[in-house]
Amino acid sequence: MSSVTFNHVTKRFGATTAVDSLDLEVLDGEFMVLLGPSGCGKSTALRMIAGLDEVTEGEIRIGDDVVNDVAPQHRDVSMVFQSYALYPHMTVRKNIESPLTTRAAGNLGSDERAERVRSAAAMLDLEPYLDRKPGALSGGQRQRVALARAIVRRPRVFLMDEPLSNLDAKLRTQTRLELVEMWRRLGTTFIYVTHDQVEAMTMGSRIAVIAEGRLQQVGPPQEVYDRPANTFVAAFIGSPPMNMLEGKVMGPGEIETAAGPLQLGTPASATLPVAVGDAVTVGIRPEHLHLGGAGLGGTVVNVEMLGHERHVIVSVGEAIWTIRDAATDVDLSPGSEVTLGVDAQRVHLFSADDGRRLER
Amino acid sequence: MTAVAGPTATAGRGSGRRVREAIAAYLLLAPSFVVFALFFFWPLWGLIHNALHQKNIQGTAEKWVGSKQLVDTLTGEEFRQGLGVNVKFLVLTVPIGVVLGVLLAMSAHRRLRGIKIFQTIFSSTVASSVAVSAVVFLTIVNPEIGIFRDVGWLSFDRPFSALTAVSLSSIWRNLGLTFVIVLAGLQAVPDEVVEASLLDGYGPVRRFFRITIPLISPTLLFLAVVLTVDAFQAYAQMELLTGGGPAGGTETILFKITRLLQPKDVGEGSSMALGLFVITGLVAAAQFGVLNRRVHYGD
Repeated sequence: MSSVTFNHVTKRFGATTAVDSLDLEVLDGEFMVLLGPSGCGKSTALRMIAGLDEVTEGEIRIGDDVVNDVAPQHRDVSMVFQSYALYPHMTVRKNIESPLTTRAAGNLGSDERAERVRSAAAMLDLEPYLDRKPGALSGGQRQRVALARAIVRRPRVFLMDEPLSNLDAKLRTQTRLELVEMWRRLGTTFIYVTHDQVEAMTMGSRIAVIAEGRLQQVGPPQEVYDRPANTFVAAFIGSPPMNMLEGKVMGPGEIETAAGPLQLGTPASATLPVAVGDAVTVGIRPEHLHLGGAGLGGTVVNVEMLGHERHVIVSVGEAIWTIRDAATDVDLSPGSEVTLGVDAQRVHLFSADDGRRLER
Repeated sequence: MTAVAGPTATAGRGSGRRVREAIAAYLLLAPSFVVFALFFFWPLWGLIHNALHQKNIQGTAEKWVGSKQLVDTLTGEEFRQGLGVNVKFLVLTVPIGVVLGVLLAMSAHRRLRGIKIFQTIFSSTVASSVAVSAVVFLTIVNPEIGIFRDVGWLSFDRPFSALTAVSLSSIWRNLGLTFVIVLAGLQAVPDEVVEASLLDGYGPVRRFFRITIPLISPTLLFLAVVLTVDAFQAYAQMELLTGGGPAGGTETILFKITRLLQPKDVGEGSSMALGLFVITGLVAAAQFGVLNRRVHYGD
């Protein structure tokens, strides 16, 4: 078990900066999710911990050790790759045993190795498949072999690079649960890279949101959801995404938008660092809007039925908003005009200049 | 009535379409079939015919001799000698050729600036013919001006050193092909598998033998078979470098066959060709059979 610390870590590939001055501390025993769109540098950050990519500037520590110049096999980390990266010519048993057979594992006896393989295989329900080769397994089984190979050496840190993205939706949900259970049982630090915000929200003890190589926000899932640090995080986390609209501060608690005036209530807006006339971006989550009520107006574009609720897609000003609506029985046809009620306490405000959250 | 007629009519149309599709398929296959018939089956038939007949000196008449000529030739001293040269040549060229190709490809399989230049140089012999490479090699071992003129084990004066010299020229000539094929095999090994082995603590030597070699084993098998067939068909380099000498020490079977083109000899030459054909096929099949068990073909 160990913490992992990024200290001003930068990674450049030629002229491209993949990771830009990253400061992040992953606590001992934590399930940290690195979340961001593809190409944001999250995988590069993970690969730098593993030692597969070199650090251009700054330092990475695992526990108290600076590992910048430590070879991958001596960092005592395990990694699960997106493609699983199993050895196709070896049986499942040999695959799982593989990290134990090298000198880096400390010359274990064959009994000890067999016992460790057995317990890892048991934990992941792989015992019936030990003598098969990966080619004879399903995607989910291969994924579990990759996990078994990772846990068998009992590393200080587990690294996972989008391990669920090759699984179908049902298996992904199931494996999500299994991974969290595995983490609780092992008590080891997990660092998990994904572009899927649902995975991040459901699995992480904390989420680090990364965009364009820079850290946007770190925090527990609920905090990141409730208090997104900027418009990027606000739009990236949550499904359907947060609704956004440009506006202008007209007075205490009053914002003028293209879709009408928005009243935030005086106590909240009194503390805002904005002046009358400032341009702001208004953000409202789909569940904090309801049909009817006074304030904003829009035109229904489409209605998506989900069974337990429906998503009403409304054109508001120049934006397209989504409203989560529990009343699935009230008829709504595209083209009809609706008014939108807003839960004023749950409105997010961001600076129109740099997208930063204006604290409420 | 209509209910019964419906499916029958559909089935009728279906089989009609199948016939039309079959005709189209055979039409599309026809050109390659013609080429095969003209350049493979017809000559093979001629070969069998000639092996079973004996022509007179002018080649104006022939008589049936049955399998006697075939058996006499294939058990005769000439054929055995030629086969011996072929086998020695094979042993000298194939293992070393594969190993060198792997080493060269490993050294060029890196992400380095300018590595493409080396890859191009290493693969350049693919583009040169046997004749060209033989002539180039000849200048290297030329007794007057060659840089290898004093190297005893490459001398054309003794049978074995002459064969060694010819083998060296063949290894060098085939190296481009071997290099290109092994390099392609190496590039098909997934990066993540190599990285996983790195994290598992495999050192370079262990990674090479436990991961790389098994993963490129289909490529290596293919190469071994191609180079073996090539070694059985060796002729041009002997013709150009040694003329089969000294004392017949570099006379491969194919070389001997090219010396049997007189009408009265055609029967014997055809018998040798038939023998070579069967032996090459058997050896290649044996390689597939034996090595295949150790080859891993992905999933």
